[in-house]
Amino acid sequence: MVRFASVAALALLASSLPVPARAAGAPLPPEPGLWWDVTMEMTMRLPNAAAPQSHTSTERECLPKKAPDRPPPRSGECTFQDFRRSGPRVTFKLRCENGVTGEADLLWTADTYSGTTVMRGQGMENRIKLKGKKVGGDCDANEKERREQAEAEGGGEETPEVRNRKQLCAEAAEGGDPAPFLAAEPGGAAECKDATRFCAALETRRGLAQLRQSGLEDAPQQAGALCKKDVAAIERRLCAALAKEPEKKVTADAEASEFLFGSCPDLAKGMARRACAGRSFTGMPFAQREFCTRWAQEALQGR
Amino acid sequence: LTLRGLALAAAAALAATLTAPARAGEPPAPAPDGGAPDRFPRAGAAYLVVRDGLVLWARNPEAPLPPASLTKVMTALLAAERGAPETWLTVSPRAARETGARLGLRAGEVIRAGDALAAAVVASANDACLALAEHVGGSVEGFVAAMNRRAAALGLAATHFENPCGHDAPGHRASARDLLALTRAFLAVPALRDLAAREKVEVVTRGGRRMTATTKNSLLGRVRGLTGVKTGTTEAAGRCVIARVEREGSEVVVVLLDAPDRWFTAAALVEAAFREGRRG
Repeated sequence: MVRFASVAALALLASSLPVPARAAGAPLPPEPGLWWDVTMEMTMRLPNAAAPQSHTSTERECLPKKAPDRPPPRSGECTFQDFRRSGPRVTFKLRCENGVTGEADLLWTADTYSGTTVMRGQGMENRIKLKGKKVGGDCDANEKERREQAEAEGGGEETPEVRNRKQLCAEAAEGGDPAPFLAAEPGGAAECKDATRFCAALETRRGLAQLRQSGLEDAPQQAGALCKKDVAAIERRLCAALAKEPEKKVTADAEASEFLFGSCPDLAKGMARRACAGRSFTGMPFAQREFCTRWAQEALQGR
Repeated sequence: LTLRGLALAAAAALAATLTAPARAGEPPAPAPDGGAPDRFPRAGAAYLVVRDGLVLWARNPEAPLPPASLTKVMTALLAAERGAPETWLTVSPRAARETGARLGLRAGEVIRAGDALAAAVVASANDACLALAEHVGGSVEGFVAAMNRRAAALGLAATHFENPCGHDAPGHRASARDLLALTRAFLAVPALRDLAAREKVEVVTRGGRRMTATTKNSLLGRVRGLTGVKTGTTEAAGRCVIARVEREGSEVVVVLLDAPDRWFTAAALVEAAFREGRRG
């Protein structure tokens, strides 16, 4: 999501720069840029969700040295309005054809910026805290888009982006990370197309633990629909099997513990009470301390 | 509200911010850390969890509370800024009578200021702390006045010190947010950063008596990547800790005040912060 936003930012910036028009298919010219460390903390409140979902990421991005003095008046289905600048502060609003509205309030210096954007509509709210720090060093702000353009046109050999995406899909499948396989919004496109290995991982503790850790509210339902599996039934079966294993073995096994806390909460509570209650932090072996620390995370949230 | 909408908002924000011309003398932008959620309501009376400069979760971060020996973060900072570690100091009867955690110094003994600082940071030794404060400030009262001036200079609005070592006293207060800012200043001093991560130091008096100061921080050696920094306990403050952890280029700082089970709680907050990072 963050990468998408950053890419969109670059695209938006690029689209609003006074660069000469280029013929379709012609490669983007190099655009002098500088490296920035960009941190985005997104908090999304969804309808019927008990708690907001948060995602934070810091990435190094090459952004153009030259940029327009304000956002373009229109981008896609949205228009920018009420652009105001007062000293280091910039505010503006956003209104989209689908009823979504937004506002931004930002502060900057020559080398840093920070601020918040909020988008509301369709019963949801999305708050993005932004923080940027210029790290310097010359780069080509169009390089990423040029590679993606080459990839989209199918020309030439495999680009680093394509290789990276293949690797990401392979790693996500191996670890059971559902995000790249599931569309993040209704009608959206998943990043990885071949879900065979991901679906196989759903039969494993590791895959299910990753699924529960993904932060996606309805990940088990989405994964079940994608893979045509009854995820809840698989969890019940694996929890029952885990209950038969010696507790000392389970609490010393990080992978089993992660699955336990994510998929078998009642079983986890019982084991944690026996393994952790009344025990001191310093007086237990390393593996068991890790298990009890994991339990403490749940307990501190009142689970 | 869609991913596209999200991206658009972020894009707009980035586009706008990148338009800024260089402006000399502008204040640095404040960290966008307002309104962090209280995800762990049972953690303690107050806490802050910060990852890579962003506050992830907080509870009562502005509340002025007794800081116990977290006070010594300021004492150490001032001593490091003002004192010469190689100079000798004489332990006063008042310092030797200090209660709570102690190194075991005797009135009239002479030790190096740097050793007193190390014992105060590593073992939270109150006798070494008071001897150091008297040496650096000329008197306890003079040192406390300097502590409060330094707190004001750092912008610690919810902080006031009544003594150098963290004893409970009316008006002796600091907020979790102030302690975070203070810890940043402390960790910016390489010698203090090094001390905060040590499990023990040996102190030798000028007369040749050897003493070992051992850390009170049970997280050291038990939480992967922990680099210190300070613990504190008094009746009024409860159990407190400031912890900093570094893993794979990412940093988590936890400030935790009045936490009944501070070790498990601090460790859990650290792990939760890094897990949150993996999701991002």
